Amino acid sequence: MKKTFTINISGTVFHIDDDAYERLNSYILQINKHFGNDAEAQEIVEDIESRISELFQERVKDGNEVITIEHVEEIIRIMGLPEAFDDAKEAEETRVKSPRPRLRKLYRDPDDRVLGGVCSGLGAYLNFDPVIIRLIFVLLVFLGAGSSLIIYIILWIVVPKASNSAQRLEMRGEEVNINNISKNIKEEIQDVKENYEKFKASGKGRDRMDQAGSVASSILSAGLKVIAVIIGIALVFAGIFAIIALVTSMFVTNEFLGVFPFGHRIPQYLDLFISGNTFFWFWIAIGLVVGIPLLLIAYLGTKLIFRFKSSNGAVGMTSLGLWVIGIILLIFILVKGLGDFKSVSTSTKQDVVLTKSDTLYLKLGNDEFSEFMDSNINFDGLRIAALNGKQFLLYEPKLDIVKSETNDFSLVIKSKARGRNLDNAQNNARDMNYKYELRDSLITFQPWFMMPDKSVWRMQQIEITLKVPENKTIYISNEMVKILSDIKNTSDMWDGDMGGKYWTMKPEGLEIAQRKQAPVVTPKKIKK
Amino acid sequence: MPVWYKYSGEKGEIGYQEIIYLNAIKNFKIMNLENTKAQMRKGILEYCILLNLSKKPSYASDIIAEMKVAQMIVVEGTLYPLLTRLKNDGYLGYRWEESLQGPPRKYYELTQDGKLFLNELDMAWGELVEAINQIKK
Repeated sequence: MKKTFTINISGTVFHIDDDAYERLNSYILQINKHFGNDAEAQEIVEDIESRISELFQERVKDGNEVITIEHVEEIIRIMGLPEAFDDAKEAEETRVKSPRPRLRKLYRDPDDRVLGGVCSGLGAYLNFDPVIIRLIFVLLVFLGAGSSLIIYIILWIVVPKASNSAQRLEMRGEEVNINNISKNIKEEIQDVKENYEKFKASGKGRDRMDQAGSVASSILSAGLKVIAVIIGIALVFAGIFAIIALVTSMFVTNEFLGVFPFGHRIPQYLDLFISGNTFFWFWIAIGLVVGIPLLLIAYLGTKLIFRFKSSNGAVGMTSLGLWVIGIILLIFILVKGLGDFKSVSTSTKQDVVLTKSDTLYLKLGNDEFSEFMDSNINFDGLRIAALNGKQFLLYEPKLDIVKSETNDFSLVIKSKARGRNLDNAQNNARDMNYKYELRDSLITFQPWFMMPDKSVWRMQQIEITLKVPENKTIYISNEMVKILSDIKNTSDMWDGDMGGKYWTMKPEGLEIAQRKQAPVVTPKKIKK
Repeated sequence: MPVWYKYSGEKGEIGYQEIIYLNAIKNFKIMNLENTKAQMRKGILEYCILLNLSKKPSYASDIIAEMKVAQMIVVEGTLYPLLTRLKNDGYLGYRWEESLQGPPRKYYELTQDGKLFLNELDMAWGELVEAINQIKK
């Protein structure tokens, strides 16, 4: 069963099937469009319609019969399609529509647009299919890091809309004369009419709204996707750069891990703290712990860019697993490292200070290392000096002064060190050699105790105890103050104030002696 | 229906691509001929209409019928613009005639100007025929 319309052609009423009507309507519209809108054209079309009416009447004699689509097709065959009319007007048209690009101007085409008509305007200007241009734009968004989006927006703003007929003609490079303009206008009016007719006839107003809405939402989602891609690209770059920075800092610069307390110089001096093979694992651990999150960032970025679906679960689990392994490794190294400090051992050396004098002068030797020292590191008396490409651990010795049990001055040097086990600790302790110089009555203490090259830090300490017999005196020079370690004295003076004074050992402790300031004593050169 | 050409040369049968190409050329040549013929007809259609009407006035549909018989036109739609233009140029005139079967129809006839114009065209036609015969020799 079919729906029927009632129409009238040239004053005669017909019943016509709905599909036949669509076909006939579009045919007549085609004809109208072909001839245009002037008076002559109207007359021609009237004649044609009249003829069509005649032809229908011949076929549908009874008033109750309907015009079917077959009838319409037949009529169209007889009358011919507008293209086949081969009248002078068409020749004129083909002449006018010359593809020769004359003075073309770039406009935005408002009649054929998805967003702003930029691509169709470009298409008209370059004589390219705007669809291809749109494709290129979209591709560039992904490949060119969103640059084409910016270009499109710029074009949207800058390129004018072809709002009147003259501009539309210029856009296509057609000659702007009265003929063309009027033709243009006719075409547009026809288009509008057609669209309106279709719109009305189909009664699909709401669908149009839905269409518009869905177009808007698809544009929005496309826009969001573009934004996601841009973010993705940013993440990828961020991740890659961070990884590069990490790797570089590991081997080249010093700055990266500066956030940690003494991490400032970790890479450089690491070998002083961590021995041998743990070194290797340490870097692996750091790589995992820091690198995995960075890799994840880069990975997320690539996902956003290329929109590939991957099993998030698998990736997440793997990276989490690796990261946890890294953390465990780090902890393990730490614990193992701590194990290196488990045992402690002290090695003691006691010397008698051979001097005839009653007064012993204490002096601190020249500090040869201060210019080579890394001033940033001062960790519990530990310093690091870099000299000739080698790095040395330097320790400040601590000097205490107590009463001697005997009648002689004596110097006790205690070397303390830690180690993996007792043997190791003992070895470490024995390796420490603190030197001092005794000439006549002058003891020159080294300001630094230096570990030999290639030794590792094992919390080494040097404790020097100077035993002063009763009623004997010592002179503490000013620089000596540096290595003093809370020397008990009867005046309860701070170590810092004890310099430059004579002190005599009394039963109660060191007491300031009243002497004139002694000049700096230089020992006589002893000829060997 | 594509035509399969056999090329008996050293290479033997030519490949599929070449066959399509040859078909395309063939179609093009056919198209060309039709185009030219249509161009020729188009040029003298006005002349034909005027000739027809010079014999006696008639309805548009009758003119169409005659043209079809003479194989001058293929589709009816070609005629209406020509008729209207000739009328607007003043060579034809019409009057409305009531019809029993349907709406009133235009009844065309030559005007005085039309007759004169036709004479000119007659002479032009004679010249053309002469020219072609001349070239054919």
